Amino acid sequence: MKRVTEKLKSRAGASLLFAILVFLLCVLAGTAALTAAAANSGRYTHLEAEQQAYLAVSSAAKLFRDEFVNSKYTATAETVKENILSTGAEISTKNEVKNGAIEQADSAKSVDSTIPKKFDAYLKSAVEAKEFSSSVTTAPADFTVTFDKINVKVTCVASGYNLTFTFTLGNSYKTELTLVGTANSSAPDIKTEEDTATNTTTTTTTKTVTVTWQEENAIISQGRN
Amino acid sequence: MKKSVSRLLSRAGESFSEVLVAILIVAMAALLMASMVSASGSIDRAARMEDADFYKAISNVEEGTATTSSGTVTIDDGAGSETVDVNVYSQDGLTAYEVTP
Repeated sequence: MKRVTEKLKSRAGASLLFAILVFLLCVLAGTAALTAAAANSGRYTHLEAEQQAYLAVSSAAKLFRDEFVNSKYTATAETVKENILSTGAEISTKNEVKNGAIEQADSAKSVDSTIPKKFDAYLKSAVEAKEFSSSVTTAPADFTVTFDKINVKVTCVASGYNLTFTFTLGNSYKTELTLVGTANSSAPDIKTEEDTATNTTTTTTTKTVTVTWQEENAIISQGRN
Repeated sequence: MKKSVSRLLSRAGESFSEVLVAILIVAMAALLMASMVSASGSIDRAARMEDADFYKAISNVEEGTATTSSGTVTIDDGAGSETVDVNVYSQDGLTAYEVTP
């Protein structure tokens, strides 16, 4: 009994210290859990901005792709040769691409051809180069595509009828669109005119060249830098 | 520090009131930690739901199954600008478009 009383009155012991220690540990653990959860919920805002930038660039790429695969470029490649009637010696040769136009491709969706029409001058030069073995003299255009105040910059590198577009937003979110163009030529139509008065023969060879871009060869590759 | 260690190693007993206070402190600590962990769980659940909604919105916008409206895109080649009519798909603040067939 005496011992029990002594125990009850005793002021010795470390339980308070231990309790405070446990309190500190619990607070630390709880704070760590809360901090981790708060950090996890904050990343969503940054993701949304990044995703919208990616959507702006990929939408522009798809717009260019859809317009080109639903369009065709047709032009007439004409060669006019003048020869001496009696000897057949050549006097002059004139090569020309004319009547170039961007139209809706056969069996294509009725899609606006606003963008391909801006390549009219380059495509004429490309047909000249292919048909008459000359150099391309016109560079393809660069663009800015604006939607909802977001400006996507578009640059083009062309090799013949193949076009590679690079889309960027603020020099980042780089996306590339590669279009492979194929040309079909009609059978040449040859007309010969002889002029005995001037002793000349004029031979005009014309053919229609049609350039198209197939959807299965249109590749959009996305990267982020 | 020496006093704390010696007290921890001490075989001496505790007063009743001291033990009661110690139990109270430990109980409060446990309650505090439980509520903090519960709150972090709620925040995490909400973040996961937002993530799921976010990725669903991306998917709908990219596939063209989100809310549709019409809009225009401006194409500028330096020499002048023209507009192209587009279908606009938007959901939860994300927007994409494609050319109007």
